[in-house]
Amino acid sequence: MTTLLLMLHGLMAVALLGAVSHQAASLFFRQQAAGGAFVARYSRIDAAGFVWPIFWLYLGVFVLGGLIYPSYRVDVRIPFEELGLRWAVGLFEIKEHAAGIGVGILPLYVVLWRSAGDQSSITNRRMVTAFLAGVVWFDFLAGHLLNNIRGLA
Amino acid sequence: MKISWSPRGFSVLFCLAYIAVYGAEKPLFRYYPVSREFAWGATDSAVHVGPGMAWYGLMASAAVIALFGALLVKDDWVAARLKSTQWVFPYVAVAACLYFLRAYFVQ
Repeated sequence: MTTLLLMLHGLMAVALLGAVSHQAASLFFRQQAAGGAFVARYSRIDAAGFVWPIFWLYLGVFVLGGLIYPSYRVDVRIPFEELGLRWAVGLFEIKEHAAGIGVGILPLYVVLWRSAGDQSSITNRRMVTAFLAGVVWFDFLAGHLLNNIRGLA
Repeated sequence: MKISWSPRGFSVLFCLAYIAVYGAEKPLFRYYPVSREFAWGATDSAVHVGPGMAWYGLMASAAVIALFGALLVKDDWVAARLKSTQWVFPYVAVAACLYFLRAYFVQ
């Protein structure tokens, strides 16, 4: 069951990674990129249309991660500690806290995108979206690295 | 009766509350995965089997504080006060967590 949940967690994370990367790219590179370039095509999306999919994917990934967390705590973290891999334990700690803070700012994220025509909130929108994208990328890579060191049973 | 709340207020307060409850080690509850037990607060006198997990409780503590605060403030009021600095709070919260976690990376 844990393996199934971990796979679902990973697959949803891939979808989230794609969505939030597109949205962040549209905020930062859309103006600068020339017409036919890859970056221009990658960032030329209806970014506001990604808000609710990102919201629900983030929550889904978060909940699935929360469900498999006890298995990590018992089956992975204890061996990490026994092997003296303190940095690996610390990496997971950063991952969990960043993910938790990400959940906390989802209401702000949605509100900032709901007022997408409001130019005064453009800095907030950019930086909060960049934060979410950064958290998703970091958590994805950290989770992948840690699972490579010692996967869940 | 329609209950109004401030999404901006929730997020800002969540970030601040998260720093506070994590720094002060005040989870609402702990979970013991081996025995599948819950226990209130950060510590108690009972003997539990296996390691305890505080993170769910930290999330709950921060969420309760943020929700309570978000019910008390108007979203427009928060937006007007914080203007273009609303984005700062999650970055500060993560920076604080990195500071709290430094012992894992420093010998």
